[in-house]
Amino acid sequence: MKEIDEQTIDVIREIVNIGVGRAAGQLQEMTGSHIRLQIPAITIVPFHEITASGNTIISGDTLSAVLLDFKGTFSGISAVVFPPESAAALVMLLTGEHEKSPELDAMRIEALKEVGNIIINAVMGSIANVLSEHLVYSIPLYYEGPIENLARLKRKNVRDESVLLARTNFLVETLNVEGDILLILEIGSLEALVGSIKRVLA
Amino acid sequence: MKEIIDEYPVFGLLDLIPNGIIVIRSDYSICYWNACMAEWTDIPADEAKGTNLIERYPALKNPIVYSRITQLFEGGPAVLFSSTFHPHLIPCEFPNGDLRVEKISFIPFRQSGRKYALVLIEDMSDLTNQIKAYRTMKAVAEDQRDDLKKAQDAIYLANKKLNLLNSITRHDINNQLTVQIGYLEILEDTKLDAMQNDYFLQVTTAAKRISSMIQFTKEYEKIGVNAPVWQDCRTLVDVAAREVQLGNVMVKNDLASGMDVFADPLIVKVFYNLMDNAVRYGGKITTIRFSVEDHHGEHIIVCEDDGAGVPADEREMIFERGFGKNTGLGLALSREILYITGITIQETGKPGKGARFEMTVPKEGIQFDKHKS
Repeated sequence: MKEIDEQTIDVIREIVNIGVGRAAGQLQEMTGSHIRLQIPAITIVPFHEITASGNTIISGDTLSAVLLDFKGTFSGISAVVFPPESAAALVMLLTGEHEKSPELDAMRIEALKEVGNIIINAVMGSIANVLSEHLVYSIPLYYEGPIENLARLKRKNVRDESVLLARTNFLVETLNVEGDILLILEIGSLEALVGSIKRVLA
Repeated sequence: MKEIIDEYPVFGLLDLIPNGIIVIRSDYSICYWNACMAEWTDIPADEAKGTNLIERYPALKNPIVYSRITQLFEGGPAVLFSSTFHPHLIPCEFPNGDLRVEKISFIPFRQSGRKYALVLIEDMSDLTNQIKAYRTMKAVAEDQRDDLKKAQDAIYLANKKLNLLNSITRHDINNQLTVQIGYLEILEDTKLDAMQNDYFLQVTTAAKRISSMIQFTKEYEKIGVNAPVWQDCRTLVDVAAREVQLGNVMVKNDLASGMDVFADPLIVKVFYNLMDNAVRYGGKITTIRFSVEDHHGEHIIVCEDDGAGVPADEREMIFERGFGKNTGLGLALSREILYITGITIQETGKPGKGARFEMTVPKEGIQFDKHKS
């Protein structure tokens, strides 16, 4: 597994933090509730460990996620991941609906996709802006189901590789809505990313 | 520099797509407007091209919307506007004037060094209506379920109170009855004249009837208290037969094992009652037989004996409450127990040749060999 020095990790954490901070601001604006945000945790893990059932990276075996693939100088996935109850609660809050047992039907999934889109765009927009890098993005994708099926969404060579994972847990205070913002970078992209960061910082 | 539309004639194919498609430049000017958009908005492509999308549709100027669209040309990913939050961002009407409910995606792309965005407008009206109708149905069903639960809880509570009241009343009456019967027994040892003796007998009979009625209320209270369950019929007969004082009477259980009936748990008492009645009133009876008959897919459980039988004019009367001399669970209660799950019972024997009780089970109330794989 490739080693990354602490200084590089700090730089990546900083850049991710800028994006996540902006995303939290958007979420705060949407919900009108304070967002408690963790400092991004940066680790290098095999991709299959992220999507393994019962893993400790993403809590809960079932999830609702909005994902975005990106390619360019550096490539990877950006995702907002919610436990399904949190996803439903968040949509109900934003749509002002009151239902005894809300379920994520097609309309609410679209709404959740928009929320995920706003958060992810804030993260990726910030990173791309700060680094002045052009990235090509996929259309945002909604996924709901067992965590292990997430692996199917990536190419085989990525599934077998180690990736850099930046994970930030957020809590929408007073609403009991929580989730994770994930940035999964393909390890081959790391040098390019670090190079971009160093260029900007210089 | 050539425009993307001129460079790629394949853009014409987008006219065949039944969704609204617009292509804008980084200054938001429209460079492509497909046939669907022309139909939905009544604006021909030639009129739309070159105009500014943001100026044409003021809802796009809303700061929250606009700030997201601007990210497109700053290197950001696609931007989605859901039908829930933005149903009419680019208003498109139906022929009757109603607005379509839309989902809009702004997808950035670059071509020949120039920045563009493809705007995809999907008509979500039908889906939205279907989902709203489904949500309404679900809400009604949930309300009904809650109401039903409340009603069930109220009935359960009321039933509990009634049973408690019954139990206390029955206890108090029994106490008074014990006193009454005690004095009647003392009186029995006293010399009474003919008229007094007649009165004595009538009071004693009345006391016995009261006792029988009290016993009836106690038995009746248990019916329908527990939910019906699937029960093996052959086992029920065997269990009930062990409780009956059969003497020399033989019980022939020809019911196949593995035949389950859906019935109140008290059905075992029905079988007991049928056998007990047969022994008590059957006269020269020697055998009681249980069997099942299939009448065009309808199953009938038969209990028949070779005793005295039931007189023709009493066939229905035997199911009336108070009929017969014995206390305990009568045929009236047996009929009620069976009827909880739709099982009917009638007497069809030949007087003098034996009684025959037919219990007709609804198709959905009987199953065979459930446990066989």
